[in-house]
Amino acid sequence: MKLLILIFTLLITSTLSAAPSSFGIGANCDQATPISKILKSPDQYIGQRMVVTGHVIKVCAKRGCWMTLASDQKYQDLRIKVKDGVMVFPLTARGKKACVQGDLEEINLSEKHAKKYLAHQAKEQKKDFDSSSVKGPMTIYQLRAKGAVIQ
Amino acid sequence: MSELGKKIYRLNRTLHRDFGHLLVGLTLLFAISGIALNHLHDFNPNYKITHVQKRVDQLAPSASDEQWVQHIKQSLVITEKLRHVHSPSPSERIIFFPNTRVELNIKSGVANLEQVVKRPLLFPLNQLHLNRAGIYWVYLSDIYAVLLIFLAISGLFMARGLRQKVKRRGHLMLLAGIIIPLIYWIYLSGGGASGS
Repeated sequence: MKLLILIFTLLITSTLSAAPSSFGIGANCDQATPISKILKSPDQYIGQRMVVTGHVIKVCAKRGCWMTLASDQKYQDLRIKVKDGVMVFPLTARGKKACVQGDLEEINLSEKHAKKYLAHQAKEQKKDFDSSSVKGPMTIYQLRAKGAVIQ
Repeated sequence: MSELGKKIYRLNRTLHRDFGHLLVGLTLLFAISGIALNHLHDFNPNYKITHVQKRVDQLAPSASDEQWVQHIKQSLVITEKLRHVHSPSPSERIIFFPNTRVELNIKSGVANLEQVVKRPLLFPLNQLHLNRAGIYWVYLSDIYAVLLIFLAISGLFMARGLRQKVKRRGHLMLLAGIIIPLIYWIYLSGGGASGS
């Protein structure tokens, strides 16, 4: 019993010293491809494993299952998505620099789904949304993350 | 009961009692955070987030991001250290501080302040529940789970010489505890829930 209590104590102590700034398989920031380059010709990168870097702009507040990274180019960002629970990005990461490793995905939305998606985004950001501004289907690109490092 | 049977019975009781005491803290941790995480749709169990909208005086159109940051810090009395400034569009700036985020429209001067505070008890409990504390915590959770299995099984053999009525009630309780999850399992296997 004393041994078990000792093991528990040691495990808890070791746990507390491990700072969780690396997620999943991590990412090597030196191998980053600029987000602007990816978004300029996304078709070239779909399905490819790559590393991107940028400041964290938004994070899923409840589940930490997605975040957006600012591009190296103004007014541009890239959505990073993980499966619920696999990695949990902290809300406190906003404004910090991050490197993310993952596969680029293309998601094609019909006009109906695009309206729904944009309305949901506007609601999250507490902004007004005019559904009539959506004319036709849209395509979004996101990185399916396998690992990340938040600095 | 034979001598060996008595020894096993006594050992079972001792281990059940000692492990039971050892696991009180971890059980409370997983139970409290479990309730909180079950209700993600109703409230944010990790952070308390407050939103306030304010209006600030406008600066000259040529004002730099640094000037806007100083202006916002003074106008909104923010003492935190700046982390980053992002421009989602020509007329918008998002200014990040460690616990505060300001969405600013530099044309209208409207500033949306969002302050984030970690819930003091629930945040660490939830992080532990979700295995965010590293690999050693995962090992610890595994040991906890194994001991919990032991407690569940050893609990069945804790009492002896019970009256028939009490024994029957115990059997019914045991059966109910198995049947309830079984009904849900069959329901889910038949595609009876959306899974959301």
